[in-house]
Amino acid sequence: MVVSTDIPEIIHHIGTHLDPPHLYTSMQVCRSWNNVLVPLLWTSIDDSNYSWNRILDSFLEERRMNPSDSSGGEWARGVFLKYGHLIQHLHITRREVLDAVCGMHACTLLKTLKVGKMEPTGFQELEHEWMYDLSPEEQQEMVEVRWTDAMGNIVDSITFQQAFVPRSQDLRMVTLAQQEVDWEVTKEFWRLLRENWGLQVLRLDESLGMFMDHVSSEYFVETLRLLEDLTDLENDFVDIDLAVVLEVLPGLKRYTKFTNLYDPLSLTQPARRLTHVELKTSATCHKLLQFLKDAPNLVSLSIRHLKHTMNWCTPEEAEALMDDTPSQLQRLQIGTFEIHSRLLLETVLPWMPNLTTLHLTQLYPGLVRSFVHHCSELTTIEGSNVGPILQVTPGRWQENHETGALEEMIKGCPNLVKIDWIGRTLNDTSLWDYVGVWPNLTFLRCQIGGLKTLPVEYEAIWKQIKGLPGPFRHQENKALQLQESIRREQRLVLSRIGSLRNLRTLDIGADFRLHKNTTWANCGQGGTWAYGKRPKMYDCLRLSLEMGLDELARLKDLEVFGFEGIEHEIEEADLGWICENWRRLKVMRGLFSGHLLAETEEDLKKARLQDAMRKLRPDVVHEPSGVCIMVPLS
Amino acid sequence: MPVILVSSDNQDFKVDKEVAERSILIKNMLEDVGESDSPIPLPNVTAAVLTKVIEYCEHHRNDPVQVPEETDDPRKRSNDIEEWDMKFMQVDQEMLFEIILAANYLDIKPLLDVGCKTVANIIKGKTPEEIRKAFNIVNDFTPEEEAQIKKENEWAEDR
Repeated sequence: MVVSTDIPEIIHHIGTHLDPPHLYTSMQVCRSWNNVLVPLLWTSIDDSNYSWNRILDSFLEERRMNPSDSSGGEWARGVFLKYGHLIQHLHITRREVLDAVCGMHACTLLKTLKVGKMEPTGFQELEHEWMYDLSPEEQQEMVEVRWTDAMGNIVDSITFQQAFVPRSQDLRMVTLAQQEVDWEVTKEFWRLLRENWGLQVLRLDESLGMFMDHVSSEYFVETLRLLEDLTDLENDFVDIDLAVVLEVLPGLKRYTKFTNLYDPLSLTQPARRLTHVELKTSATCHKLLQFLKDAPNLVSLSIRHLKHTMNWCTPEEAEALMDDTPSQLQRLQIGTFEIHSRLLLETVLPWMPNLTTLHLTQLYPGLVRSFVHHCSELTTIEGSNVGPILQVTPGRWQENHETGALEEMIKGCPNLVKIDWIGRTLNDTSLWDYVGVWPNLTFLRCQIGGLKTLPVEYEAIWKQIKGLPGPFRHQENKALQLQESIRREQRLVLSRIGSLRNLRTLDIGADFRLHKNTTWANCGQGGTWAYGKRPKMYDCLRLSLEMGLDELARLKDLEVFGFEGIEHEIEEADLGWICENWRRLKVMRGLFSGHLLAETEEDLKKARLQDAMRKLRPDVVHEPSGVCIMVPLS
Repeated sequence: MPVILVSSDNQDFKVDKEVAERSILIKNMLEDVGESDSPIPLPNVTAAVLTKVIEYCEHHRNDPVQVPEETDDPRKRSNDIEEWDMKFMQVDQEMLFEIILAANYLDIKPLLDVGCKTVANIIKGKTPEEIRKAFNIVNDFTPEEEAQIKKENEWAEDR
């Protein structure tokens, strides 16, 4: 007989070590367990997780089959009415959940509210039939009447009657009844925020604007004023300057915002608590330095680009401005550079002596010297997953003015621990002559290219004579020689990588995709995929034993190995070597296949190799590699 | 200086103060009483259980004080147990729960955690019926209640 399974305190303790699926199983055991575990299960709700999507989709399907079926909405409202008071952390990505949460007024103890990207409608409301009997003028009048009804006696203060501006609606797209729901949600959403005084983390996605009315910045500020504990705000919804936010939230630590390009990046008062800021805005040197001074504890800053102006900041002015106090900044992200950027960097970088991490989208050789000279503490170089197309067919080379920049940077920073920039290619093979350049490197994720390849005509000859004893004719000997020099080069580069003994992650591949209509300015967003055109990476490392894979034998600590999308030439024998030599390997990126059915020859090969790998090392997880967007050079 | 602990069945245990003070309850008692060599009665802990608890405290006598790592993300809840602790917890179920109860009473957070993690690991992969069987629990739900629990919480299923 075990009595202690009845003691709530003990069951609670056990429950804190269970994830939601196991909590769900355990709460079905008996009443006393149920009483204790229900609050634990409902503490943290993320509707992008577990079975939320499956359940909501099946309700949506029922409603599609039978438009008067309202069981989905009732279910959602029911559970949030009953359990909403238990939720502390809420992450919403489904409109149905947002509607229920807003409608039920039960969530009052939220510490985290994250509204992520969501579809504009959930359970679409049907129109009342009598509306169709009205004339267009009467319908228009009715819209106003119903809006006033929905938004009337609004919220808690008469000052904010003007807070909401109805969006211009297209009644052909959305029913008026649905709009009433949208208005209701707008109103109740702000009430929800105002009722949850304990909020510490708030995220507002821009997709809210697809169905919620615009809110005035005054109303937003008044709402923020009530949330005294808020430390982390990600706002993509309301157009507002950071300075205004900080006036009402002096305790804010993190601010992330993407929409307003014209934020002047200036504060009206010092913000000592601020540690992380991400703005898709440009800044002049002057503004940037002033910002660093006003936010002296800033650790991470991301801006779109450094702007050049006629009266740019001289080093003397910078010195006067900074008052001999360098910033604490450790991480700097700058989107794009322009022709004067070097001068600008020379002005601002001396005031960021503690930088350890740089995140860049572009890097030109001219800028490298500034970074290397001023950022002696640099340990991490990160970059976006957008890259120029360098070479997609053998023998065809495109000139690129970024060529060599990353290599220069790496040579200049001997203390690097992490290079994570899959959008870039290490091309300059002379880089690999620097033996032991980065003794501390643990993370290498970038493309490795620029290696010799067989010209097409010799490729055919080589395939014919491969493995034959000879003697060979002149052209065949030439092919042999070329192949031999390729092999030597491959082996050299592999042996250099093999000397990076502390590597834990080595990932030289990605799901490479070509992108059309993309410019650097939009960082790969907004363009269109060129489907079916996946660039082939010919000038890459070959990872077969024949080419020198065994040179990597010293990477005993390797945990992640990636080679997606490159012509890696790995076969079963090479996998056998990998499994044998890298005992700590946990993750492989390169054999994962998202398709249920193998379609192409490539898929079939992947499936075959993954099968072989699973037999040898069932403990290794196969993961998809991230996407790398290849952009044509302008 | 050693401390004398007395179990519920009146057995004396002489342990180093440093070991005894792994228990916050005892630590606070000693601080309140000051210098004293009078034995400390532990009326809720039997000798068999106290032997185990002392064994744990002896092994972990030099551990740094744990900083509680409260995580709100339910996916990050980890159930890793050190090798020695895992072996230590290989006891019958009655003893396992006795240890948990004692750890709770004596306020030894790391031992409580290890015990609860061990139970959590037993629960994993089992159906509600299998859990009841494992812990000898009677199902006191009506079928209607069971159906309602499922309806309201099945979003937490992992499938």
